[in-house]
Amino acid sequence: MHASKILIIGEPGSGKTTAVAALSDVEIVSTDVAATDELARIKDTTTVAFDYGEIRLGQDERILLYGLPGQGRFAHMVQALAPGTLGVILLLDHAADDPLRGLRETLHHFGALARDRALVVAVNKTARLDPALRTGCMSLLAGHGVSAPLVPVDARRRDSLVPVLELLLDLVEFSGIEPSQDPPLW
Amino acid sequence: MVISNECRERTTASLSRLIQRAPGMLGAEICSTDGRTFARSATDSAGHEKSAAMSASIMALGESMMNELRLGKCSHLALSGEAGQVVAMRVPRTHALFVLTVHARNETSLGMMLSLARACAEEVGTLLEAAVTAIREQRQAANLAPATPRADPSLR
Repeated sequence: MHASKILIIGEPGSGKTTAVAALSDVEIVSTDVAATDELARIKDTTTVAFDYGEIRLGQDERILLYGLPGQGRFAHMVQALAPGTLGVILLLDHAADDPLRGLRETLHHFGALARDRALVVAVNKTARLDPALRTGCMSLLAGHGVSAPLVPVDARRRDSLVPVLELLLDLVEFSGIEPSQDPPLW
Repeated sequence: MVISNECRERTTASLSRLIQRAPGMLGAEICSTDGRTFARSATDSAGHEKSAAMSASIMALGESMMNELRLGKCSHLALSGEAGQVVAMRVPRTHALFVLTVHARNETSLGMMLSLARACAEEVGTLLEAAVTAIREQRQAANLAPATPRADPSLR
Protein backbone atom coordinates (compact mmCIF):
# COMPACT_ATOMS: atom_id res chain seq x y z
CA MET A 1 0.00 0.00 0.00
CA HIS A 2 1.37 3.41 -1.00
CA ALA A 3 1.28 6.14 1.62
CA SER A 4 1.92 9.88 1.32
CA LYS A 5 2.60 12.02 4.35
CA ILE A 6 1.09 15.47 4.89
CA LEU A 7 2.02 17.63 7.88
CA ILE A 8 -0.34 20.23 9.34
CA ILE A 9 1.36 23.06 11.20
CA GLY A 10 0.23 26.35 12.70
CA GLU A 11 0.02 28.32 15.91
CA PRO A 12 -1.66 26.78 18.96
CA GLY A 13 -5.42 27.06 18.61
CA SER A 14 -5.40 27.44 14.84
CA GLY A 15 -7.43 24.24 14.31
CA LYS A 16 -4.86 21.53 13.51
CA THR A 17 -6.42 18.82 15.68
CA THR A 18 -9.87 19.74 14.37
CA ALA A 19 -8.63 19.53 10.79
CA VAL A 20 -7.04 16.10 11.24
CA ALA A 21 -10.23 14.81 12.87
CA ALA A 22 -12.40 16.25 10.09
CA LEU A 23 -10.31 14.75 7.30
CA SER A 24 -9.48 11.35 8.75
CA ASP A 25 -11.25 8.19 7.67
CA VAL A 26 -10.00 6.43 10.80
CA GLU A 27 -10.27 7.33 14.46
CA ILE A 28 -7.45 9.76 15.10
CA VAL A 29 -4.57 9.19 17.48
CA SER A 30 -4.42 12.20 19.74
CA THR A 31 -1.73 13.37 22.15
CA ASP A 32 -3.62 16.31 23.60
CA VAL A 33 -2.93 17.18 27.23
CA ALA A 34 -3.95 19.95 29.60
CA ALA A 35 -2.50 23.35 28.77
CA THR A 36 -0.80 24.93 31.78
CA ASP A 37 0.57 28.13 30.24
CA GLU A 38 -1.06 31.24 28.75
CA LEU A 39 -2.73 29.05 26.14
CA ALA A 40 -5.07 27.76 28.88
CA ARG A 41 -6.86 31.08 28.75
CA ILE A 42 -8.20 30.28 25.28
CA LYS A 43 -8.31 26.46 25.20
CA ASP A 44 -8.17 23.56 27.64
CA THR A 45 -5.81 21.23 25.82
CA THR A 46 -2.80 21.27 23.54
CA THR A 47 -1.07 18.71 21.32
CA VAL A 48 2.38 17.65 22.58
CA ALA A 49 3.46 14.98 20.06
CA PHE A 50 1.08 14.76 17.09
CA ASP A 51 -2.44 14.07 15.97
CA TYR A 52 -2.56 11.25 13.47
CA GLY A 53 -5.23 10.44 10.95
CA GLU A 54 -5.54 8.76 7.55
CA ILE A 55 -7.41 9.35 4.34
CA ARG A 56 -8.08 6.11 2.48
CA LEU A 57 -7.90 6.37 -1.30
CA GLY A 58 -9.12 3.00 -2.48
CA GLN A 59 -7.40 -0.27 -1.56
CA ASP A 60 -3.84 0.71 -2.31
CA GLU A 61 -3.30 4.31 -1.29
CA ARG A 62 -3.45 6.32 1.90
CA ILE A 63 -2.67 9.89 2.86
CA LEU A 64 -1.17 10.04 6.35
CA LEU A 65 -2.05 13.20 8.22
CA TYR A 66 0.10 14.49 11.07
CA GLY A 67 -0.97 17.54 13.03
CA LEU A 68 2.06 18.93 14.82
CA PRO A 69 2.24 20.91 18.07
CA GLY A 70 2.20 24.66 17.52
CA GLN A 71 4.71 25.70 20.17
CA GLY A 72 8.35 26.07 19.18
CA ARG A 73 9.50 23.92 22.10
CA PHE A 74 8.10 20.91 20.23
CA ALA A 75 10.28 21.48 17.16
CA HIS A 76 11.78 18.01 17.79
CA MET A 77 8.54 16.53 16.47
CA VAL A 78 9.14 18.26 13.13
CA GLN A 79 12.63 16.78 12.95
CA ALA A 80 11.16 13.36 13.68
CA LEU A 81 8.32 13.55 11.18
CA ALA A 82 9.65 15.70 8.34
CA PRO A 83 11.52 12.98 6.39
CA GLY A 84 9.38 11.72 3.53
CA THR A 85 6.81 14.49 3.84
CA LEU A 86 5.01 15.27 0.61
CA GLY A 87 3.52 18.61 1.56
CA VAL A 88 2.53 20.94 4.36
CA ILE A 89 -0.70 22.72 5.27
CA LEU A 90 -0.11 25.78 7.44
CA LEU A 91 -3.23 26.76 9.37
CA LEU A 92 -3.74 30.37 10.32
CA ASP A 93 -6.32 31.54 12.85
CA HIS A 94 -8.15 34.44 11.22
CA ALA A 95 -10.07 35.09 14.47
CA ALA A 96 -6.92 35.50 16.58
CA ASP A 97 -6.13 38.92 18.04
CA ASP A 98 -3.13 39.14 15.75
CA PRO A 99 -3.15 36.43 13.05
CA LEU A 100 0.14 37.68 11.60
CA ARG A 101 1.87 37.13 14.93
CA GLY A 102 0.83 33.49 14.78
CA LEU A 103 2.16 33.17 11.24
CA ARG A 104 5.38 34.89 12.22
CA GLU A 105 5.87 32.45 15.12
CA THR A 106 5.11 29.44 12.94
CA LEU A 107 7.52 30.55 10.24
CA HIS A 108 10.18 31.30 12.84
CA HIS A 109 10.04 27.77 14.23
CA PHE A 110 9.00 25.76 11.17
CA GLY A 111 10.15 27.98 8.28
CA ALA A 112 12.64 25.45 6.95
CA LEU A 113 9.92 22.83 6.67
CA ALA A 114 7.66 25.31 4.85
CA ARG A 115 10.45 26.27 2.44
CA ASP A 116 11.41 22.76 1.50
CA ARG A 117 7.96 21.35 0.77
CA ALA A 118 4.86 22.16 -1.22
CA LEU A 119 2.82 24.44 1.04
CA VAL A 120 -0.72 25.79 1.28
CA VAL A 121 -1.69 28.40 3.86
CA ALA A 122 -5.24 27.63 5.02
CA VAL A 123 -6.84 30.56 6.81
CA ASN A 124 -9.28 29.14 9.34
CA LYS A 125 -12.37 30.70 10.94
CA THR A 126 -13.30 32.97 8.05
CA ALA A 127 -15.22 32.68 4.80
CA ARG A 128 -13.41 35.57 3.18
CA LEU A 129 -9.84 36.74 3.41
CA ASP A 130 -9.21 40.27 4.61
CA PRO A 131 -7.09 41.90 1.84
CA ALA A 132 -4.79 43.53 4.40
CA LEU A 133 -4.23 40.16 6.08
CA ARG A 134 -3.52 38.56 2.70
CA THR A 135 -0.94 41.23 1.92
CA GLY A 136 0.64 40.85 5.36
CA CYS A 137 0.78 37.07 5.00
CA MET A 138 2.35 37.20 1.54
CA SER A 139 4.95 39.64 2.80
CA LEU A 140 5.83 37.45 5.78
CA LEU A 141 6.00 34.34 3.63
CA ALA A 142 8.21 36.07 1.08
CA GLY A 143 10.49 37.24 3.91
CA HIS A 144 11.06 33.60 4.80
CA GLY A 145 11.62 32.56 1.20
CA VAL A 146 8.26 30.82 1.08
CA SER A 147 5.74 30.98 -1.73
CA ALA A 148 2.28 29.58 -1.10
CA PRO A 149 -1.37 30.14 -1.97
CA LEU A 150 -3.70 31.40 0.76
CA VAL A 151 -7.20 29.94 0.95
CA PRO A 152 -10.00 30.40 3.49
CA VAL A 153 -11.10 27.22 5.20
CA ASP A 154 -13.42 25.87 7.86
CA ALA A 155 -11.25 23.31 9.65
CA ARG A 156 -14.32 21.64 11.15
CA ARG A 157 -15.62 20.61 7.74
CA ARG A 158 -14.16 17.92 5.52
CA ASP A 159 -15.76 19.43 2.41
CA SER A 160 -13.94 22.66 3.14
CA LEU A 161 -10.60 20.94 3.72
CA VAL A 162 -10.61 18.55 0.77
CA PRO A 163 -10.06 21.36 -1.81
CA VAL A 164 -7.05 22.49 0.25
CA LEU A 165 -5.65 18.98 0.10
CA GLU A 166 -6.30 18.77 -3.64
CA LEU A 167 -4.55 22.11 -4.15
CA LEU A 168 -1.58 20.85 -2.15
CA LEU A 169 -1.38 17.67 -4.21
CA ASP A 170 -1.50 19.77 -7.39
CA LEU A 171 1.39 21.86 -6.09
CA VAL A 172 3.34 18.70 -5.34
CA GLU A 173 2.66 17.29 -8.78
CA PHE A 174 3.86 20.41 -10.58
CA SER A 175 6.72 21.24 -8.23
CA GLY A 176 8.68 18.12 -9.00
CA ILE A 177 9.35 17.61 -5.29
CA GLU A 178 10.28 14.05 -4.48
CA PRO A 179 9.15 13.11 -0.98
CA SER A 180 11.72 10.40 -0.50
CA GLN A 181 14.70 9.02 -2.34
CA ASP A 182 14.23 5.62 -0.79
CA PRO A 183 12.02 3.02 -2.43
CA PRO A 184 9.44 1.39 -0.19
CA LEU A 185 10.69 -1.68 1.65
CA TRP A 186 7.55 -3.65 0.81
CA MET B 1 -1.65 32.67 43.08
CA VAL B 2 0.89 30.32 41.56
CA ILE B 3 2.78 27.31 42.87
CA SER B 4 5.18 28.77 45.40
CA ASN B 5 8.93 28.96 45.08
CA GLU B 6 9.14 27.03 48.34
CA CYS B 7 7.20 24.18 46.75
CA ARG B 8 9.43 24.29 43.70
CA GLU B 9 12.54 24.23 45.91
CA ARG B 10 11.22 21.27 47.90
CA THR B 11 10.50 19.49 44.62
CA THR B 12 14.03 20.21 43.41
CA ALA B 13 15.41 18.90 46.73
CA SER B 14 13.42 15.70 46.26
CA LEU B 15 14.90 15.29 42.77
CA SER B 16 18.40 15.91 44.12
CA ARG B 17 17.93 13.20 46.76
CA LEU B 18 16.70 10.83 44.05
CA ILE B 19 19.79 11.14 41.89
CA GLN B 20 22.05 10.62 44.91
CA ARG B 21 20.41 7.34 45.86
CA ALA B 22 22.16 5.16 43.28
CA PRO B 23 25.45 5.30 41.37
CA GLY B 24 25.06 6.30 37.75
CA MET B 25 21.99 8.47 38.20
CA LEU B 26 22.48 11.54 36.01
CA GLY B 27 19.38 13.67 36.32
CA ALA B 28 15.72 14.01 37.17
CA GLU B 29 13.13 16.51 36.06
CA ILE B 30 9.53 17.40 36.80
CA CYS B 31 7.77 18.98 33.85
CA SER B 32 4.18 19.83 33.05
CA THR B 33 2.43 17.45 30.68
CA ASP B 34 2.50 20.24 28.09
CA GLY B 35 6.27 20.31 28.17
CA ARG B 36 7.52 23.03 30.52
CA THR B 37 10.18 22.47 33.18
CA PHE B 38 8.98 22.91 36.74
CA ALA B 39 12.00 21.56 38.64
CA ARG B 40 15.23 19.85 37.67
CA SER B 41 18.32 18.37 39.28
CA ALA B 42 21.13 16.93 37.20
CA THR B 43 24.82 16.17 37.25
CA ASP B 44 25.03 16.94 33.55
CA SER B 45 23.48 19.52 31.25
CA ALA B 46 22.67 17.15 28.38
CA GLY B 47 19.33 17.89 26.74
CA HIS B 48 18.50 20.55 29.30
CA GLU B 49 16.67 22.88 26.93
CA LYS B 50 14.55 20.29 25.19
CA SER B 51 14.07 17.56 27.75
CA ALA B 52 10.78 18.84 29.20
CA ALA B 53 9.05 19.10 25.82
CA MET B 54 10.44 15.73 24.74
CA SER B 55 9.28 14.13 28.00
CA ALA B 56 5.79 15.47 27.38
CA SER B 57 5.82 14.14 23.82
CA ILE B 58 6.99 10.62 24.66
CA MET B 59 4.67 10.35 27.66
CA ALA B 60 1.68 11.34 25.54
CA LEU B 61 2.74 9.02 22.72
CA GLY B 62 3.29 6.13 25.13
CA GLU B 63 -0.11 6.61 26.71
CA SER B 64 -1.75 6.87 23.28
CA MET B 65 -0.09 3.63 22.21
CA MET B 66 -1.18 1.76 25.34
CA ASN B 67 -4.69 3.05 24.78
CA GLU B 68 -4.63 2.10 21.09
CA LEU B 69 -3.46 -1.43 21.94
CA ARG B 70 -6.03 -1.65 24.74
CA LEU B 71 -3.35 -2.47 27.30
CA GLY B 72 -4.69 -0.29 30.06
CA LYS B 73 -3.24 2.71 31.80
CA CYS B 74 0.44 3.45 31.15
CA SER B 75 2.40 3.22 34.40
CA HIS B 76 5.78 4.28 33.03
CA LEU B 77 7.96 4.49 29.94
CA ALA B 78 11.46 3.04 29.77
CA LEU B 79 14.05 3.77 27.08
CA SER B 80 17.32 1.87 26.95
CA GLY B 81 20.41 2.85 25.00
CA GLU B 82 24.08 1.98 24.67
CA ALA B 83 25.14 4.43 27.35
CA GLY B 84 22.12 4.72 29.58
CA GLN B 85 18.44 4.62 30.26
CA VAL B 86 15.46 6.94 30.65
CA VAL B 87 12.37 6.38 32.76
CA ALA B 88 9.28 8.61 32.62
CA MET B 89 6.04 8.45 34.59
CA ARG B 90 3.11 10.60 35.59
CA VAL B 91 3.25 12.23 39.00
CA PRO B 92 0.25 10.90 40.96
CA ARG B 93 -2.46 13.01 42.61
CA THR B 94 -1.79 16.16 40.57
CA HIS B 95 -4.73 16.08 38.14
CA ALA B 96 -2.37 14.38 35.65
CA LEU B 97 -0.53 17.65 35.15
CA PHE B 98 3.07 16.60 35.81
CA VAL B 99 5.62 14.07 34.53
CA LEU B 100 8.78 12.82 36.24
CA THR B 101 11.67 11.88 33.96
CA VAL B 102 14.88 10.27 35.22
CA HIS B 103 18.00 9.40 33.23
CA ALA B 104 20.98 7.32 34.29
CA ARG B 105 24.01 5.48 32.98
CA ASN B 106 23.67 1.74 32.49
CA GLU B 107 25.40 0.97 35.80
CA THR B 108 22.03 1.79 37.41
CA SER B 109 19.64 -1.08 36.77
CA LEU B 110 16.24 -0.39 35.27
CA GLY B 111 14.59 -1.95 38.31
CA MET B 112 16.47 0.35 40.63
CA MET B 113 15.57 3.38 38.52
CA LEU B 114 11.89 2.45 38.48
CA SER B 115 11.77 1.84 42.20
CA LEU B 116 13.48 5.11 43.08
CA ALA B 117 11.50 7.08 40.49
CA ARG B 118 8.17 5.76 41.80
CA ALA B 119 9.07 6.73 45.36
CA CYS B 120 10.11 10.20 44.20
CA ALA B 121 6.94 10.62 42.12
CA GLU B 122 4.87 9.77 45.20
CA GLU B 123 6.78 12.31 47.27
CA VAL B 124 6.50 15.03 44.64
CA GLY B 125 2.84 14.15 44.09
CA THR B 126 2.15 14.83 47.75
CA LEU B 127 4.01 18.14 47.55
CA LEU B 128 2.28 19.33 44.38
CA GLU B 129 -1.15 17.99 45.30
CA ALA B 130 -1.28 20.35 48.24
CA ALA B 131 -0.16 23.30 46.12
CA VAL B 132 -2.54 22.58 43.25
CA THR B 133 -5.42 22.04 45.65
CA ALA B 134 -4.68 25.32 47.45
CA ILE B 135 -4.67 27.22 44.16
CA ARG B 136 -7.89 25.61 43.04
CA GLU B 137 -9.65 26.28 46.33
CA GLN B 138 -8.60 29.91 46.26
CA ARG B 139 -9.80 30.29 42.69
CA GLN B 140 -13.10 28.63 43.46
CA ALA B 141 -13.58 30.93 46.43
CA ALA B 142 -12.97 33.91 44.18
CA ASN B 143 -15.28 32.36 41.60
CA LEU B 144 -12.46 32.46 39.09
CA ALA B 145 -11.96 28.74 38.73
CA PRO B 146 -11.62 27.54 35.16
CA ALA B 147 -14.20 25.13 33.81
CA THR B 148 -11.96 22.09 34.24
CA PRO B 149 -8.94 21.28 36.41
CA ARG B 150 -7.01 20.59 33.19
CA ALA B 151 -6.94 24.23 32.18
CA ASP B 152 -5.56 26.16 35.09
CA PRO B 153 -3.17 28.84 33.80
CA SER B 154 -1.83 29.54 37.27
CA LEU B 155 0.21 26.33 37.41
CA ARG B 156 3.38 28.01 36.31
